[in-house]
Amino acid sequence: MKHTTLSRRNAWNGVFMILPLLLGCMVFYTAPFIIVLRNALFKGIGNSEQFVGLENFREMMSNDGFRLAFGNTMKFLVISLPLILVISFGIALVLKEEARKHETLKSVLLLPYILPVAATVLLVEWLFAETGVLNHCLNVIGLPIADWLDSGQAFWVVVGLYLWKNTGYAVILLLSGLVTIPEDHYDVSGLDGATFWQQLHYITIPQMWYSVFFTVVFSLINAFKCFREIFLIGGTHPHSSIYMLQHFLNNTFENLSYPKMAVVSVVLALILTTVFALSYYWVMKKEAYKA
Amino acid sequence: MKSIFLLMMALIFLTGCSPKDTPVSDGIFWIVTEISTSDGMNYQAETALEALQEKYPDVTFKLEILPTESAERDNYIQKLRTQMLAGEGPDVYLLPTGDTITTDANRKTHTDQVTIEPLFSDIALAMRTGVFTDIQSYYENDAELNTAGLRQEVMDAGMVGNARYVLPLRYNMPILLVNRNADTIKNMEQNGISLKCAAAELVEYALATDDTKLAVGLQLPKDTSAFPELFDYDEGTLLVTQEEIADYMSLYQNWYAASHSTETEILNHLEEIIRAHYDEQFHYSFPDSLEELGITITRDSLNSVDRYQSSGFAHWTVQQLPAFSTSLNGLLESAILEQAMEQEWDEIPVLRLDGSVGAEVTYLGAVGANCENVDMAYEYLRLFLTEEYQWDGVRPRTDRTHDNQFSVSPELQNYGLVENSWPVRDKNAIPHLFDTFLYRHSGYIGRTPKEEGKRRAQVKGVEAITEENAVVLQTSIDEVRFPIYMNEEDTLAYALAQLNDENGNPTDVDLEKLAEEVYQKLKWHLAEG
Repeated sequence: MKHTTLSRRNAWNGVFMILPLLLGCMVFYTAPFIIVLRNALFKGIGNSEQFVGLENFREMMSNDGFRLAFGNTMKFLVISLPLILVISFGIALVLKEEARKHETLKSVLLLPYILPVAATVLLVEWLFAETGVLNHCLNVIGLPIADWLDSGQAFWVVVGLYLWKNTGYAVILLLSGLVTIPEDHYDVSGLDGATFWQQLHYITIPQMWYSVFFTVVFSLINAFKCFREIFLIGGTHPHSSIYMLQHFLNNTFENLSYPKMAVVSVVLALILTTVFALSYYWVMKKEAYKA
Repeated sequence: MKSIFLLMMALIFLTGCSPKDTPVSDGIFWIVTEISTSDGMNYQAETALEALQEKYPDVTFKLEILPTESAERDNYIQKLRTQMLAGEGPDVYLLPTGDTITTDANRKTHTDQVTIEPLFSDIALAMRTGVFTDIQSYYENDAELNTAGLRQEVMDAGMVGNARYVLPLRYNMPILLVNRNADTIKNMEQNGISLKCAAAELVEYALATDDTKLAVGLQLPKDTSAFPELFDYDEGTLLVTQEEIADYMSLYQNWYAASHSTETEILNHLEEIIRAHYDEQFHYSFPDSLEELGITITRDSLNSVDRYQSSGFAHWTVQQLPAFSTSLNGLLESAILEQAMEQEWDEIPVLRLDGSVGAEVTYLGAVGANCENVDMAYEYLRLFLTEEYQWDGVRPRTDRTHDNQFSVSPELQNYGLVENSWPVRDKNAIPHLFDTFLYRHSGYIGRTPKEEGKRRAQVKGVEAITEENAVVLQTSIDEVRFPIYMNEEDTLAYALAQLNDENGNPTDVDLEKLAEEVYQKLKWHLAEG
């Protein structure tokens, strides 16, 4: 009985502790999202409001701007996320040995991440503008130049920018997971003749799922933050290869097209929720198996 | 102590927000408009508001004029749009279309143009997005308004299906003044070439015959107004093709190359003549440029009563242009100059690329979707469609008949039509608009008493202009649209500006790529609206 009372009290203590945060989340995130969800089912505002059901969603599926933006955004995520995971994992593995000896190395990795957006944009333009450094070098060695920021190449510039800016942060996240793996596991497996790849497959990766999950989450958030640089480089309507969902949202707001904004927000939320849920389910499954 | 200090700091920051930076709401009947000339729509808006305030003394009215300074405007409009989407937007919108506003200049006889980003980039899209209230039931039951006197094609532009969201208040239409006595025109008629064809065809004829004077007289617009209907808003499709855009750009490039240097030569010559004319009048040192006197010589100077009367050379027929593109804005000037020069010209509508007659709404009124008192909002807006407001009855005047160099009444009117455009109540409008024109010139203050007397005699001698002088107003309009706004770099005008250098010579820019970009930007405009 005493144990139950203590558990209940602990539970209530927990609730009271998270109550301010919970209230804040409900007021500033949940409630607005419910309003957005409602507005996605209506057309017009105020006196002109009219319930249309899923009509807005149907119209959005045939909207060229939305399809372009959605396609570009998914393409960017599908290419950039695996790349950043692989690259940062590799760097983290290399640095694992050095991290303990060189603490400043971790700080250096974060420099691109903390660089102000305006400085990043200036750097990109200095490198990739039509009269930029890259074209100058190409011209000198006799190769054809390109309009890197206003052509199909702009997509790869943005992918490169994202990787350069956020790899260091992903490395830090993965490194923090790697250093928690006991060295004994590697020593014992080494004695048994395990190769590097076997150690990676059977020891490292199984114990890194949580870290990988959080790295995916933060990398995904940072991928959407890339819009700031793209916006400053390309404006409200950049080259079609880097026209993202945030451009679409930004521009529909200026045109007061609330139903379109609401639909895009709902679609994005559904996709991200699905991705997170599946990832979390995968990680939980792996962790349960490990247990 | 620390927490009290932090709390005080928080309160100071929270209450420090300036109310001037925040759009108005909270139970006030709120009207949003743009700045105009002092005798123009702002004056009408205030006059109408006074009438409404008298009828509803217990209601608080607020006429909000949007700022024009770029950074302040961006910030204000952002907040205003957020309020609109949150359900707290203005009750009434009274807005010009397009991205250019006419305001007072330092000298009252002249006006300035200010470029802005409009609150609504596309009124047609805004109507379909539902930011306005349907007022069709008020309009169709308004027996006193005499809607039969309003230009129906223009009024229909404010409808989507059976709902009326916008009341067009003023409009404009491109017209071509044709001198039938000009050799070029006679040759065209003899060769069976009709002037009533698309402007593009006339330009092609001018280029084919190497007739630079005809090319100068014609004008190809820098915006998309030459194209027939651009968008099917209900289907969400773009009706113009990339090839059509490229063809137009190519034609524009060639036309500009053919006409630019000749036009520049004419305007420079005109400036020299006007300057020489002023030099004769003065015996003291003269400013280096006419601009210091607030005088700018533009293409419109070739169809201006003032310019012709001051120089005698500033007219398109004197410069041997066989035809001259203008708009309804220049119709009265042209009609009066016909009398002064004892000539007669035809006025025909400038046709779009597909041969249709088009017009644009230049000023509109609408009731906001969040308006709680639609009755009052309509009562306010309908005033702008009455004869008094449409026909300059509300425009301020003083008695200037006895003005002279030593005694000058305050200048209360700017030159030209309100909002440089035609009233939508255009049946029987001309006598009233002509009356305004006479008033403007009756108080002319010349450099010498002799000049004043000459001008006043000319004005008195001018016969009243009637509807017969404006046959072009009888033309049916096929399509009336609202101008769309896009960021400068996304516009057709921006693309066209890259086709020729400052001397008018074609550049080697990739025209197809530019056309593709313009096409893509138009698609995005529709997709994002």
